[in-house]
Amino acid sequence: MICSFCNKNEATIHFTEIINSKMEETHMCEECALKKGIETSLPFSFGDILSAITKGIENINQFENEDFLENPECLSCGLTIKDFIKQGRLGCPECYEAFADALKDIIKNVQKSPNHTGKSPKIFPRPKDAKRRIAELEKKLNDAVIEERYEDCVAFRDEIKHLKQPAESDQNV
Amino acid sequence: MFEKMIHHRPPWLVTPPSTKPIAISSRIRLARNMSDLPFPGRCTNEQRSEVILRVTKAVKKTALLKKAEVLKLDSLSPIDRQFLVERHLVSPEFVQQDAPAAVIISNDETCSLMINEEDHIRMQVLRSELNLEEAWEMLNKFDSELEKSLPYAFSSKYGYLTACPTNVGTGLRASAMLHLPALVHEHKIGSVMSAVGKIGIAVRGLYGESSDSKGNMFQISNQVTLGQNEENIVNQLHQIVLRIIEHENKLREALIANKPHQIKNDVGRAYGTLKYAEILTSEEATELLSSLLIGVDLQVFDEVDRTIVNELLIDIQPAHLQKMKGKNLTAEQRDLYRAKLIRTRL
Repeated sequence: MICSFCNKNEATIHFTEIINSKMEETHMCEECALKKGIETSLPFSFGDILSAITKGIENINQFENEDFLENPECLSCGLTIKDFIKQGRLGCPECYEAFADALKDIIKNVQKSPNHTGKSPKIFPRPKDAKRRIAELEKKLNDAVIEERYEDCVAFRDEIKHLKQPAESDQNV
Repeated sequence: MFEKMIHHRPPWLVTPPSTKPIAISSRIRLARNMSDLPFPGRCTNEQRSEVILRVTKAVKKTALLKKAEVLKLDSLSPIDRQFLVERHLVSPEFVQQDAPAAVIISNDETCSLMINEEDHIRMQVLRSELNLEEAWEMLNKFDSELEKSLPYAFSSKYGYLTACPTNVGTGLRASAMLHLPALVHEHKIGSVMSAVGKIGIAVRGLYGESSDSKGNMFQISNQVTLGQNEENIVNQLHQIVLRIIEHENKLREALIANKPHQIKNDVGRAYGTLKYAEILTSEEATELLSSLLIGVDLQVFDEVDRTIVNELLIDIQPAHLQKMKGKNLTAEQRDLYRAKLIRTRL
């Protein structure tokens, strides 16, 4: 749906107003909404996702070269950051690793906390996968300690702990 | 299957005549993906067909959907597709695509599963009135059965991985459809929207992703899917819906106490138009039927049965009308047939 104000951009904000007991719908793009000073009632919009990721890219760009946007980011499916910004959808499960830095910001913006606390598949993680992941995380944790990235240290440590849990409880059985 | 659906009401729409629910129905949906394939948006047609094959095979092993019919999207006519959307069994986005996709629907329409929507699997359970916990219990059990034969994409940090980060974690969206005429009438719906918006709950019109609010029907749903467990998400939404219902009820009482003549006038005029109109658009009919519901619920109007109004709200939709008539109808023909159907039923 196209923004009914500029007739140019995709409308990402949809809201209903009540004027003289009549409901009126408005569809507008983030840009026009900002111009009009409208605050969306939703906790986030698609625009938030984009601005978060763009912010992530700005930070990353300080260290990366300029063709960063064009480079395939995800080795598994070939999705680039540019594709992701355009479509707002990830390409495959591995994208969560490939875009970890950008996703950290997005998830912080749109979700309650960055850690899953709900259901998990009974057969997850398969022992082989868990062992490999733990080894990988221990290396990352080591690097993070050396580089004094304490926030990352906590995240890696928590994940290792979580992965080790089922294995330990299996041994107890 | 469609023939049966036209003549039967889905159980989520049927409520005991004694209850006058503000919450019409409750829905829980879960998003799941295969761990070893790209998300549908990036799948080749072969990979999408592979997903259909795997999921249908796994579904046959579940208690809930083992006997359910599998409908391949490419076998469905435009009217069939629209019919399923109107019935709340698939999303509008799902039926608009060209690539291999399928939907599996339980015989009583309580449970349905879309294969290759935005995620490989989008499954839902629909219940009547405010029954979110019951819907979650049912869907959770079904999901646990499915996961035995499907390797889900899951990370211990982010939970169930989904194509859009706004669904990651639990992949759970709980929603309730509410009829809120008093909040709309008293211009309070906007403040409800912004109040619940601040705590991660969205209020939308009747259909999922649009902001349409036909006939004072609103869908209330959680936005946060990560960082809270499923029970908390479901329970929080339940509590918020209860508060909205309380608010709506208070306003209804005030309306009937302070403006009885205006309410009776609105309801009576709505009935008059519905009963005698020759041409009715979908929007107008929905608005008028909503007014009738208020009359019935506030006990100022007893000419019609609530069930008939509920049924009409579903039956007057474009694809439903064409399915009943058994042929394609132009917009003008539909408006005529819609008015005739309403006149007959009332």
